[in-house]
Amino acid sequence: MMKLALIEWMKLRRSATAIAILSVFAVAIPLVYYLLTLIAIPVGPMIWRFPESAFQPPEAYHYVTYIGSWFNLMVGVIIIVFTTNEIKFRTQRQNVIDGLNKRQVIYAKFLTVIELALVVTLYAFLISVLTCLITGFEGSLFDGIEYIGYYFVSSLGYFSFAFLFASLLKLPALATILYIFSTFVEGLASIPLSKYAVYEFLPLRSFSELISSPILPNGQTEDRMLDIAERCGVAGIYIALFFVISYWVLKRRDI
Amino acid sequence: MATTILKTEGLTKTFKGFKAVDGLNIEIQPQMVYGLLGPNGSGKTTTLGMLLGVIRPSEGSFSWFENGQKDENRKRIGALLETPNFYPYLTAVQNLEITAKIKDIPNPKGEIERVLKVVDLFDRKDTKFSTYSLGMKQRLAIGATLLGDPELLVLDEPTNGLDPQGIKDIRDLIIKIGKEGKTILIASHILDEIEKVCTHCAILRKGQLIKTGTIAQIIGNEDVQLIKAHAEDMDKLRSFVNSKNDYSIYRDNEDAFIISAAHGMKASDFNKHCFDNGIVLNQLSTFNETLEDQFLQIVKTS
Repeated sequence: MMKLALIEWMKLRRSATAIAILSVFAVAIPLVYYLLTLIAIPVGPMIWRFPESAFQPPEAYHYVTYIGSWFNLMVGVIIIVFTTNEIKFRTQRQNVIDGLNKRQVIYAKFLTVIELALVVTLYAFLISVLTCLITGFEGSLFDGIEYIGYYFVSSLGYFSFAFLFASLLKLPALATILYIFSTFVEGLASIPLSKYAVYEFLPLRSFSELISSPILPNGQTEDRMLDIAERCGVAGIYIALFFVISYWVLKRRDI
Repeated sequence: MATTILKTEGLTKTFKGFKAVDGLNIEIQPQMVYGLLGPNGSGKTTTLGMLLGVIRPSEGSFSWFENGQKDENRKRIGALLETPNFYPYLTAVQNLEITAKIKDIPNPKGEIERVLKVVDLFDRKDTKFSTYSLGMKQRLAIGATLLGDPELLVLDEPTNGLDPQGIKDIRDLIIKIGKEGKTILIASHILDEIEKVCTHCAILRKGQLIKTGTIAQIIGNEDVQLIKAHAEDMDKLRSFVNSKNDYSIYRDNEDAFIISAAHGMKASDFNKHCFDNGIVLNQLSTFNETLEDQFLQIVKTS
């Protein structure tokens, strides 16, 4: 397993697509975080302003992971490009010829999804901790760290969704377009469904709901049917499902 | 006795009712340079694909190193199938690092340097694969097969797309490796290549094995003289040839027989023998057949 993870890492860390997208991601999070302090957003009847507490635990973790989750869709494109390239370059085939078996090749891609989720999660964690250290805080530094955990599950969700598209469609452009498009479709579908509980069970919704918006009018809480543990459970089921479908598809294909 | 490198039994691949490979039985012993010869679409690559684990056989079985079809076996094989497959954004060294990692090669750094020198790419070792010419890509692929000094090389059309100098370099390299005692399985549609490089050969046509044996057996031994002969009474000639151990009918053409004569027999000897036995030949010549003719003949008639 370690060997497979290492091999994938050797491929991933030099990929121009991965470097470019992760650079944008790395710059975007602190930038957006900072820009939020400059604006005022009307939320319902109130005007929302960035609270000072957003730079301190536990709020810092919440804000950083929330901003990070906006960009997860983009980071998922790395998985699509990376997975489809292996098919296009026939390197997947060569890996098998060189001695891996097909199952290992598929597992290796699962590991890439997990590796990438770890990378973005670790980065979000670093930004949160650094922010807290720079601005100063009271109480425990790690208060609110559970958001980092939710963020990991959420990232895993988006990336496994991307992996599913890559496995099914094989073509990078098509997979990317449909992957992005599907978020709009789900967004549109969720409008009429929002009155019903089923809304919280939609796959992408279940990933994004793991980190609720911290931008709420004072005193107002979001009304949800599922608590956070249940939301993690729903997301976990989807992640497992995406992996199982991808596995089934890849396993049956001659490479 | 040494371990048999490869044995296949009734290996078959069917694509939607079409038999790409049909009941293939071949056996490769250590130190053979074994050629798989056949025109395009004869099932060479499909065969190698099955042997290398990327195509699932429909029927039959094969065994590497008398060790079955285990995936582990492939780590003992250096293989190039169809095209050089590398990560274009990685350099030669980075690509080979991945190959070495997969194959669990000890001391990868030294090995990578060694093979890059063998295929003459050491100067370009830190340039990206995407910038390589076709010949360099092919050479890198051959270099990759040499990593870790595997027991067997499998090369599918290794000189495909190369210029004459590149073809010669690769052939010389294969001959050199073969002389060092390495077992090599090489697939090609180029007869000349098989003839120059191989010790043994199997000829495929439409997925079926047509002929197999040493190159000398298949291509015609230099020691064996081929004689083209025609007589007034062809039936008499046939029975005469069949009755003698020194001669056999190599090919039964309509206009004449091609007869193979034992070592040391010349056309004049044959003429005399015939005459002594009351057969008058009205046409007699020594017959030189190129491998090309042979191959086309074999492929056409069977």
